[in-house]
Amino acid sequence: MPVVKINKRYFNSLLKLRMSDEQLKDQISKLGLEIESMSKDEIEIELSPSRPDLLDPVGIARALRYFMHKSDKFHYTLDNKKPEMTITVSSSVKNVRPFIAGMVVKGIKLDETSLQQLMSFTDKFCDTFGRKRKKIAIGIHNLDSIESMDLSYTLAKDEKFTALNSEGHESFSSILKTNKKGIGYGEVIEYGKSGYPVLRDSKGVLALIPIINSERTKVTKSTKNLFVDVTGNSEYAIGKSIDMLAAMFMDIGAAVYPVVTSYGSSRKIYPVMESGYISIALEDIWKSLGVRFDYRAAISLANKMGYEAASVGKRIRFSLPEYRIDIMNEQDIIEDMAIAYGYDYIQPIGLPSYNAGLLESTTLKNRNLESIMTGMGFTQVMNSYLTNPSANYEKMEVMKARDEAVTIANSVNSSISMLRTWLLPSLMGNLSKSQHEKMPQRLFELDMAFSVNASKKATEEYRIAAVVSDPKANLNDIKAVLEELMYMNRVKYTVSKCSHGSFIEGRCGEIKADGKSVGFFGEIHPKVLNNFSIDEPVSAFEINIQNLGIY
Amino acid sequence: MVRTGSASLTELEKHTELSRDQVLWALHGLEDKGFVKLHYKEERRIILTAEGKKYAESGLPESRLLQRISKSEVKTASLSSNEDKIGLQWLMRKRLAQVDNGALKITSTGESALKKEFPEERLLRAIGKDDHGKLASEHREELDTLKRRGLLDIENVTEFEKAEITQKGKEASKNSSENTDEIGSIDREMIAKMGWKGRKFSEYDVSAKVDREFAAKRHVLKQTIDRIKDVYMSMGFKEISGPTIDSAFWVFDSLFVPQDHPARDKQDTFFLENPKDMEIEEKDYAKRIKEEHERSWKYDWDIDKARQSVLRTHTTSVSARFVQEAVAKIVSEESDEALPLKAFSLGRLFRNENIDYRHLADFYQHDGVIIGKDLTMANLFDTLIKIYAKLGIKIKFKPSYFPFVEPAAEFYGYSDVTDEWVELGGSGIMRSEVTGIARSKISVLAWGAGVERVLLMSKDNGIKSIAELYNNGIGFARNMRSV
Repeated sequence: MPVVKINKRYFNSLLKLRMSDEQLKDQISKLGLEIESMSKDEIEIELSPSRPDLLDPVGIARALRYFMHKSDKFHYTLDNKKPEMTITVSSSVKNVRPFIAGMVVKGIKLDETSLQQLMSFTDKFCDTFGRKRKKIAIGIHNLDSIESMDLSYTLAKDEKFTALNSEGHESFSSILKTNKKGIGYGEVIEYGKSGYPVLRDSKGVLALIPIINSERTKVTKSTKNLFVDVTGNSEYAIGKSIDMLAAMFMDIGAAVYPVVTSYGSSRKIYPVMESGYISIALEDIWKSLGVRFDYRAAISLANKMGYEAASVGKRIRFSLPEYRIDIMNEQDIIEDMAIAYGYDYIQPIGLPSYNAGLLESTTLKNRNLESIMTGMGFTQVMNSYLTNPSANYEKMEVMKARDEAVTIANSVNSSISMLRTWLLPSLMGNLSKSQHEKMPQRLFELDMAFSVNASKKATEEYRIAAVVSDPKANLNDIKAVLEELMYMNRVKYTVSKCSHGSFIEGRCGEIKADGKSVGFFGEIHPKVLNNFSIDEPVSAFEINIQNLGIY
Repeated sequence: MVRTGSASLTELEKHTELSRDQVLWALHGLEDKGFVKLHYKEERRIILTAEGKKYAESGLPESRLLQRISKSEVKTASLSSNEDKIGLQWLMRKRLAQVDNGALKITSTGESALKKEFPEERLLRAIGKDDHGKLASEHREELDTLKRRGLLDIENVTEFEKAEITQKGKEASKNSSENTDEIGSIDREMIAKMGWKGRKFSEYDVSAKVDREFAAKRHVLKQTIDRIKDVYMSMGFKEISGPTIDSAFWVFDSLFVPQDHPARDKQDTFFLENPKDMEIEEKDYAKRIKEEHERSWKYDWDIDKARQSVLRTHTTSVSARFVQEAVAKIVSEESDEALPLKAFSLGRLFRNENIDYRHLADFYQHDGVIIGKDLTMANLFDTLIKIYAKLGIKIKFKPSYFPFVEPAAEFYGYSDVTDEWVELGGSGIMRSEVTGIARSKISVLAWGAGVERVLLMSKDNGIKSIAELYNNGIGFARNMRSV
């Protein structure tokens, strides 16, 4: 989950409340955010991925003020409804990145801290909710450096412009290859094929969407007025995002003016600042939380979470804040009511049990097999299911069966590329780690192994394998164990000679039960022992429990 | 011993053909009688920690980092793994490199260090070859540094050196023929013929130290798993299970995780190469999930993304299948079980993360669901509090976010071992988008939590990280105590 670093002085100037560090920590935690660390100058907060409006200090301060009943301004509306600018969208962007929304922000007062927090917030927002800019990207420009009130959003050929924080002209294709943002976000769009999406004014390129703005419209701490654009592939998401941004700018004392997006025949005006209502029966809230409260209390709880609310008949009508992107239906609001009530105050209520508890037969059978094995002096080990061909095959001197292994496409670890197909390699690994320990060593594992069957389906089976390592370990030691294990489980089996790369030729037996091959046992070949740096002889067996018919 | 005056343990073992323990036992008895004097020596024994062993094999992080810098440019910002960070820290401390414009540059000290093996590394390797490396005091300084870095432990051990016969012992030895009347070990014949009658049993030293026997045992984690399963069963839950290798559909889509959600990123999830895809058998159900996703998340749901095979990233996929089947049965009144219906699963899950001696890519989770009418957060809290109380852990809840539950609560357990609250798992009331039925008709409580944590928290086993549990040298098993 993302972590945001907030300058404490700046945060307090937004919060406008006197609180001790402890109180602040407590309230933020009750709101569902986690304070990672707090120093004299800085607060580090782990954010909730569900609430984009809480990704920045302005939003967190707003939510905290509601939470402590210090604010009753529940709605955000535009004072000036007259659009300031128009963005004309060319049909050429339709299959690349179709949607854009803009707004004008006037009279903003920035300093080093608030500018840095604003930039880090838009980055966080675009990385998380914006899915690394794929879904949403935000561009912030100095309005006073834009030359015309009419902008166009269109596909362009490979042109040159001076990108933010660069010197001199550079072509789009080169920016994608050399600029840090170009490298970082270049994969969001398939560039080059049909052209590059750009935002322009009468003078030239304002931004290569969604990578980087122009140096010309760079925002500094002396910037007074802004133009903000939001682009993406979901009309719903860009509309909600710009509403959220508008609320944020209003909170820091700026005035927001709408901008028209013109898609040929249709026109949209952003920010929409739409509110909407959801009404929920009070009883339904009680039924989810397991606590009861009256209408007045319900309204007060709603206010704590920033909802304006009223009781209408037996229902509570919640009016949705313009900056909330995450609310889908009443379930989301019920969660907010639970948070407002406080999880600590919900008194646990017991549930009856009418059905008997029951364990799966595999669990019971496996426990039984394990107790037989420990009774014979074998200690249980548990190993990772993940392995690689070297450990699973090569070190065991066996060949990989074609397409038998469940393989992984994208492991970040070079030592992990497949699931183990059998257990013995894991046990050999355990023995190789135990060479300085006292002999004899008797180990077993009972767990899963995986393979792909003839009809190309993944199969998972419980297996049991055991090893004896001892200066005098031989075939009979392990066969005696096998004999007892089968006796205890009423399994009749036969043994035939088999040839297996891991075992000494002529000292390996294949185990068959009910006509099916269920496993093998024998003395491990010294070559394999060498591969694992094991100094003493080892005898071993491995059985597929699923094939024994005992579950 | 009479002849030479003194003897070591090995010599005595050889001459008497007794085991080490038996010899020691006998010697303690002789010492009590004043027949021998036992000599001990103190020595410093050096033992490598797991991290130390690793570096003994692979080299110290700083030496490997230095090698890398010598070959190509390394930006400090690119050093994200733990080991790289340790490497960087020591390179700076030892002044082997400096940061210049965000990149690491070798200093002249670094250049000369590059030419030879690091002294600490040589020492680690020397110890690595012999666990009881009796490396003398000349390396005291390096050893102290390595100890501070947590790469080795230095123990002072008192070991038996030799036994020396006393004057009294010599005399007793001369008279030993007179002592034959005292019975040492008894045998079958003596028992049968009552040969002990009228004779004296020689006294043994019952306080003498012996090495403990090693019990064959079930793995501590397996014992913990059993405990958890038994707790669930005692509370009326039935055990369910499901595939470890599953489709993204059951791991993500059915749980309302949108297809562009970061949790589905290639970085976090193991996607399979073979088998690449899986059939989704439940066609009608898949259709409903598609509609839910498209309506709520507002994107075009892609069945091919849902068909991808993955290693499950949580066992909640087992709960998802169970809820889908159980709710269908309840709705069509085919269920013969009373509500609330309680089920749990416990199994392995996978995270595509960098592994090292402390972090693994597979571990265990237990998952529970309760299906019923008007189930509340109060019921959820009560159930989890009771489960964990039976495991000896006190828990508390905090608001959180998981796509498939609303309200969602994370829960933390208080660890007596580390004296802090530790995150255990997530829980909540399943969204109707997941269950496919309005909450006013049927509601489902669900949770999932780590298993290894329970073991790490409930008793001080000296286990500090989950990965240690899977480090199955037999030494580890032999030193484990019951849970």
